[in-house]
Amino acid sequence: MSAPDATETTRRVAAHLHRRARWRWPEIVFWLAVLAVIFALPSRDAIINEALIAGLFALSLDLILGLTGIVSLGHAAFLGLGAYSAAVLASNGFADPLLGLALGAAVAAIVGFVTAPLLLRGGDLTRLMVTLGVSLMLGELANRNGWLTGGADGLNFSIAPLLGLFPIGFTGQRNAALYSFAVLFILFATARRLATSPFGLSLAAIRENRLRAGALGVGASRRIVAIYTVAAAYAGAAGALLAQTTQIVSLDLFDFHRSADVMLMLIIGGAGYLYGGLIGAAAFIVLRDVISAATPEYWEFWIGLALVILVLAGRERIAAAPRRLVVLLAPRATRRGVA
Amino acid sequence: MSAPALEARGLVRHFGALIATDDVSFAVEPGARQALIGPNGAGKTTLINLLTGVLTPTAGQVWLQGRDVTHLTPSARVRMGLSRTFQINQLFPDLTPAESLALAISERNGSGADFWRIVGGRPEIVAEIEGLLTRFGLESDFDRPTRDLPYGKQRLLEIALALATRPQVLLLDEPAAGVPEEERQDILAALAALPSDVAILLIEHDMDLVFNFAERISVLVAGKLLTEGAPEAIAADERVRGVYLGEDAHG
Repeated sequence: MSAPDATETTRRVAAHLHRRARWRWPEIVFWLAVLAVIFALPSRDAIINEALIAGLFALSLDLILGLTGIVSLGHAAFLGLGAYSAAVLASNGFADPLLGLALGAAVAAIVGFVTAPLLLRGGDLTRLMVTLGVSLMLGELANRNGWLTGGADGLNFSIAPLLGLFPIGFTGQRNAALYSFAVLFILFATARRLATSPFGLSLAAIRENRLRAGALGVGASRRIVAIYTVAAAYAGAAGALLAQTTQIVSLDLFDFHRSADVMLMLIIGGAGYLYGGLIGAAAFIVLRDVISAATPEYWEFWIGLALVILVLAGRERIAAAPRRLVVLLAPRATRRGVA
Repeated sequence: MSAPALEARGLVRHFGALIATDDVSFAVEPGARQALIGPNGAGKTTLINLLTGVLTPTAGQVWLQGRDVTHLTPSARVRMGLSRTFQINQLFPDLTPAESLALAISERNGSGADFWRIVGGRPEIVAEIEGLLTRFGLESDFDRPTRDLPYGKQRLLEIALALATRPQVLLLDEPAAGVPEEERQDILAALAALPSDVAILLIEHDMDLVFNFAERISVLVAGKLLTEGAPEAIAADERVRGVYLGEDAHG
């Protein structure tokens, strides 16, 4: 009697553990839809590009905030680092976009790795202040080192065609959007894989109950440093994309409002399931575009109102809606097995 | 003779002027069924925290299987075979029992930092999860978020998680605390069925459970080890009756 039972249970447990790893068709539809929008609205490609990059930036924050439960109010530090690294490289004659992208991610990752140990002690307030402080310091360093960064004037530079073939920037808005899309998709798929790995599970455990995670042998400090470094690299990549596709960088990239906006985007879209940052970023940028076209002076009023309603009245419910949809559309086999 | 599975050597812990642990030495032999009892405020929790590494002792040492682990972190001690459960559930509310066990097993076998393999991608891990689910009667609840499990099942998951680390020494901190009467039997059965090669130190208020389970009892009073011995000897000890059992009988 037990043998067939055991096999059946094994299959169900394995399917349960794999359930988050499988790509579901709503996800595939999501990505195809994004791609379709790029082609369908060529006149809007600049803002689509902006939304894609903001989505990558928010995804980066989701890795630490949503997956691991580490708060940050200074995530713009890594956006700025990535952007300036790519810009400085291009201004010095190395105009290849992929090279700049790699450098932006690498520089941000190094600074993330070095500053991550500062987040291991204390509570959320400590972390908010430490991250904020680091971003302020980096912004000021960029300001003071004008010989490298252009100081308050920022940097204007040109960028070589992608792969030597496709111009990006003002002469190739669609190429720029496709470039950002490709980078976003690859990094998203990587993050998705990471989230469903034992490493990702240990991050969830740290978020849910750090005491118990430690009691199961999880060395939380190393895991936090690792994911913070990855998140910094993602934010650096977003910064590099932003710099390359607009061909300008300015000190405002390090600004506090960047860090606040990205958290806003993630909270609007829902933290912890990776799509939240992308959806939130798109919603944020479309809303800003629509509302500021209608009532330019009031746009922040409306985004503020939306935020208050989301957080107080039903962020959980509203943000969980896409997730519920995914659960609803999940392969029947898993759920039948349970019933 | 082999080294004790777990040994406290002259452990002292001060909190300011308070001496919470006062020169405590005792040993838990491999495969032992030992209980640590003591009235409220005797310093049981402090002692557990010293043994597991949550607190650093003011003086003295903790030895695990013949090695000095006094200065190792809690997670390092877990990897060396010292595991514990918690008096108040310390679980992962949003994770399912299967996921929680997958985590514990991955950490134990060193694949916890693996960022590319999918959780439960290895058949032997799935088989082990299934074995633990069955052993603790969680097989019909394996895919429910832990927060939705009945309290008794959560207590069982507490023990299952600790056992998933494959400890040599398991500290059970009041495993039956707060469990409703109708679910109590499941806990007792699970305790009785724990692997015999694992040394167990049971910290418990429930005297029925202690005298049913333990082959050796250590009594802690006011931070000091009052006495140790077989259950019969402890039950007959006037001092123990005075400070503990007497108080318990009145309460």
